[in-house]
Amino acid sequence: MAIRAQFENSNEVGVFSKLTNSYALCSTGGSENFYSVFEAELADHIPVVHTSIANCRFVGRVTVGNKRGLMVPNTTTDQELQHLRNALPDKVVIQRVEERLSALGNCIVTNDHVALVHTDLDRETEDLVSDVLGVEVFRQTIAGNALVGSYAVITNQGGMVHPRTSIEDIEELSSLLQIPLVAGTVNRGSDVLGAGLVANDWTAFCGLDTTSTEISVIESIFKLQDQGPANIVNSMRSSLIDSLT
Amino acid sequence: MMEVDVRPPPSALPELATVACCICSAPIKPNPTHMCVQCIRTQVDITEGIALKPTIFQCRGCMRWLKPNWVEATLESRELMAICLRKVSGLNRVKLVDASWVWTEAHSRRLKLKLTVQKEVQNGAILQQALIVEFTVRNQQCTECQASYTNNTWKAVVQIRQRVDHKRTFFYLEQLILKHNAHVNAINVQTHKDGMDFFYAERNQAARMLSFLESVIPCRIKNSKKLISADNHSNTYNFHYTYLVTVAPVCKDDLVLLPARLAETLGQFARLAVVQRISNGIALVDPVTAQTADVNVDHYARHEFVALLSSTRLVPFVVLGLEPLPLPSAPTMAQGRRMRRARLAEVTVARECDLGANDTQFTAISHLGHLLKAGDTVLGYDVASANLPEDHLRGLKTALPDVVLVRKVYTSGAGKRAWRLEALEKDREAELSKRDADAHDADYERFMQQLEADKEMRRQVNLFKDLAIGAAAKTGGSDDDNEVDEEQIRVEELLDDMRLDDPDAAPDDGDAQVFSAGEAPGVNFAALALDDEDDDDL
Repeated sequence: MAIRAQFENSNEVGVFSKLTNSYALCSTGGSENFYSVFEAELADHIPVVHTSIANCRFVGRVTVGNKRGLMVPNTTTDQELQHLRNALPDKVVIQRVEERLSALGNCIVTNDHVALVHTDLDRETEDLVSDVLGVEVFRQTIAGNALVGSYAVITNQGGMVHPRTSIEDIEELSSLLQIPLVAGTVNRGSDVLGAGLVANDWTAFCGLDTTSTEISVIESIFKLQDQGPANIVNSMRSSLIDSLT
Repeated sequence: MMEVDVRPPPSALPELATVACCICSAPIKPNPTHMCVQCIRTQVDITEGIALKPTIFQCRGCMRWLKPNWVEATLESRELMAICLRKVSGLNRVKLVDASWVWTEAHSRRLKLKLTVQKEVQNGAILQQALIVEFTVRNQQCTECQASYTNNTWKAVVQIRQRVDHKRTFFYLEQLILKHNAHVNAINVQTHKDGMDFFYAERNQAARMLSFLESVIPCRIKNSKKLISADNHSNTYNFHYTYLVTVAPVCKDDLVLLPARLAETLGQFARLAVVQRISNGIALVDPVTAQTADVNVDHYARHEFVALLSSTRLVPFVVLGLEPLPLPSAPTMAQGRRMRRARLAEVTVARECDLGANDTQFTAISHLGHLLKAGDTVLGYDVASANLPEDHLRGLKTALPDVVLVRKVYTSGAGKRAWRLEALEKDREAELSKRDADAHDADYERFMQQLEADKEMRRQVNLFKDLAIGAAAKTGGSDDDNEVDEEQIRVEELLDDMRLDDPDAAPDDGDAQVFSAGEAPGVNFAALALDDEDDDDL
């Protein structure tokens, strides 16, 4: 299920939050509305952590992570790092990265198996990505743009890329990532997908402007219909009952 | 129509993935807004703020348009489009890429303009849209027309009057005015039974007209003024000036009987004379001796005379034969002048109406000896059968001739002429009756014939080629033979008409090549030539 949310009148939910399969980060804001949307949806399954990075609110754009790990930029204060270590599950590795391109969220896009990174990213960072997140790393561009994190959102189920990506590129990326990809938009025609959308394997949050058309594209490509931890059991149960009778 | 500008991506990828329109999920090629055209249309309207039904003002009198000054423009012209586009408010917010006229019925009082506008809407997407702006044409009288239709806006009026029963003097005067552009300042021109009125906004414009009239026709001017309003405090007085121009009631081709005193002062001039020409004086010719005399205005004022027979009484004669006569010997002509090139001849003529009826023949001495030959038609006065006032003739020493020949006839009727005249735009005070209209037409025809037979007179006016008649009647004569005598119209005398919309009248037209350099189409050349001819007359 894709949920519309707004952070203090901004539709760019991807800037202020980070969502993975094992945790979610939310920036601290004047109001708890944004946080409570995440909390309401996710609290039963994964921890939702209030945090800031380098005393700023753009947590989504400067961090990158999946269910195994979280990478934060070198501007992250010790205190924030400590807070994250305390709040996140123990199995999640947290790594501070000395990288010139410190907006890691813009430069790296990842799911639990593969990551695409900015073409100019350091060799060491690339190694760190593969070590900390446990993924295969590819240097790629999307629609001629090196900011892969801004223009693509991927999960283990599927991914969405910039609307100007050519069919060839989509096919190539799809074979790299081993997931279906689609070109699409969020927030009523915005092509900055990373900022407008956060997604994991069973849920997604997008800006309040997102149209129902865009929601339906998001839900279908990320396979969010009837998803969620409980629904899998439900579907299994129905098939079990079906086989028992 | 609406289009979205699809800019090629930086890498110029050949085939982009189809994306869903973010509003209606229709599959579209990606564009900067990521919406299909219909959806963009629901989101933004670039024509918003453009006035779709502006009003434009036109003067019904002169058909000019308010711009805010009054300008002329034809329907569906570029000029009118410029005026209209100024009236469309909100065009500064968009980029106008095209404008074209949509046809509307001329009487619908609507003008339709199809505009194509562009505007950047969002994310660099440029939207182009066509819209039709409908102008309502409203009437508004322009200041000039207001002035001309309002009474008492004129300050001076020039009333030209000639107390005769024909209008030929005014036809001639009209041509002179047209040639010299003397009517340009007049607010209004009105015709009356005996003449014309010219209205002027300023007194000096009327004065200019008066000096023009004095230079071209024999006339006397009386002026009067009427106080309309006065302001004692600022010492301003508002007058209406009226100038009455009385034209001498003598016209070209009239047969006149000069007062004995006048004939004496003209150097024992014959008392019976034909008016040869009217300029600022009256040129007379004695048909018996070909002697000429000029009577100027002052002279005429002292010894007034009227026409004994006027050219309505001219009858056609056929020349049966002619015998050249020697010109009278010099001593008797000591103080007179003679028509140049004139040859006296004793002409035997018969009335055209008598041909086949009877054998009545007349013998007349004529000053037209150089023009006539046997078989020609010539107009003359049948003095023998005319009923002349006895008291006028009392003092006459010599007997009256039976026939006075006046001029040769060249064209037998209207419609055959290869030339035409311009006409002045004028108001008529009252509608003409059928009889008056017929008389008017007959007078006009006579005037045309006079022009045809008089080279000197033609020099004063502008003759234009009649394109309707065209090349078929180029020589314009009734003569079958190729001889063209000296008074006849030559095609070189005709001016090309200035009609800009007519491709036939273009200056590089084949006909135009017959013009000599001095007579190239145009009014001013001919006007210059006029001056030296006047000296000759006086």
